[in-house]
Amino acid sequence: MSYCRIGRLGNSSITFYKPRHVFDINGGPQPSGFVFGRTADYKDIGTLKSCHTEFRLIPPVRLLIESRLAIVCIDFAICFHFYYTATMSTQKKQYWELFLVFFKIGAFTFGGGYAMIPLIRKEVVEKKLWLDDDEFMDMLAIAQSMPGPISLNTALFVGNKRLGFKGSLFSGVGIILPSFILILLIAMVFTRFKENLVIERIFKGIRPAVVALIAAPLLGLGKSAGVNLKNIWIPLSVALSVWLLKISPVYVILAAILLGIGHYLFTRQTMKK
Amino acid sequence: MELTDLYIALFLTFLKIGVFGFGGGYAMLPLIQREVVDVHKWISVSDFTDIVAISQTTPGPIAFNSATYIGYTAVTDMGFAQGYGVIGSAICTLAVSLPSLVIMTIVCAFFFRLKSNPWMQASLSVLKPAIIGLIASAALMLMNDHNFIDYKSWIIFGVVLLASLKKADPILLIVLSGVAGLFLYPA
Repeated sequence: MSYCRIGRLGNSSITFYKPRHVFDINGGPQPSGFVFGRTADYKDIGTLKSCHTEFRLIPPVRLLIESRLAIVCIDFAICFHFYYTATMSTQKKQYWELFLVFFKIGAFTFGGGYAMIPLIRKEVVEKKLWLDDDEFMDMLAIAQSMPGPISLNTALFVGNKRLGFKGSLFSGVGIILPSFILILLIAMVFTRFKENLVIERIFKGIRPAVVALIAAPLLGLGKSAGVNLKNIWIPLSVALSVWLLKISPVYVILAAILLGIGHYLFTRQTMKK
Repeated sequence: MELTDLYIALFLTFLKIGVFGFGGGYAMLPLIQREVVDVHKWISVSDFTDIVAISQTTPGPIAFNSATYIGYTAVTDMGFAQGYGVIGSAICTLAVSLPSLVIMTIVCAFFFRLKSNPWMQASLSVLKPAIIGLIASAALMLMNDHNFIDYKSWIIFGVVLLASLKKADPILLIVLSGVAGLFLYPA
């Protein structure tokens, strides 16, 4: 049995080792995977007792997916975390902290975009004091007006402000990774059960609900984007041209930007006269 | 060779989605749907709706979720092994976030000048209402025969719309409509 000792905490140690010649219930050899074991030596009255507990981290995940690749990936991530936190310098710790904060935000915010903002504010402004409130509001305005998901833009901005370009890489990967892993697992499972009749019936009910959930916030969003009777032709014409005329949104966006700049130039000309 | 071609196509498509993904979230849906469903035909319309449903019930932005999912299914549907699908989804996720990385790096360098830039304000003045239109078209494009199969679909749509306007939890609504589907559509 080959193993590597990762760290020592008090009189107990955490060890990861790769089991060989272990057989599962069906009698076949177990696929490789790290066992997460713990050895604790403790003193009973007079005698030194050694207690070894061993438990697999993987079974629930293994039940979910049979893919060996995903298991190995998770194992390596756990090992890497322990190894990395045990050996790194303070500067490395800052990068790691940046990664972990945005990993947490990415893992626990449902609904994306606007739902994430209060959580990001709490972490970045209140807990970590990386930005003050004014900076945060400015940053939000920038993140919303640039292409790409708002949460990613926010993460990249905070990372860059704090530790430069390399910091933005850490925070960016941090916010992408949770949903990446989760959706990958779902894709692996879901592609197999797609033809399942029960799943199909469930999704027959869900599909109209999805459309309703997209349509419902339109009124509120329209108000906050400053849509009024004067400029309501903009969203209407955009919706009709993309939906009925099947014009690519790329051209619509380019046209909107050009129109805005054109209007600005025109009013500036007339102001001068 | 075929696999590399597919990878390149996926990368370029999601790069395009990243560059023109103004407004985030739902505003990116028409673009994703057009590129992935209509142009490249990597997934069907109902699959696309399912991805949106999964995105609404799991953490993370829709753009990444659909990139990861489509990257995986597009490769495995072609008959390649799971491992290649994982690479495909990594490529798509990278491609969709690359424009943000470049743009935000530039923005951070010029942050204070950009804040009150009149050109910036000018281009946003029309773009912001346009984004509302894009979200509306996302809903309209998904209102098709594949997702609305009969009158029961419209009932679910109406109920969820009303509940959502009353600020009900979207995840709960999705779960409930899934249960409703199970009962309304007998096997």
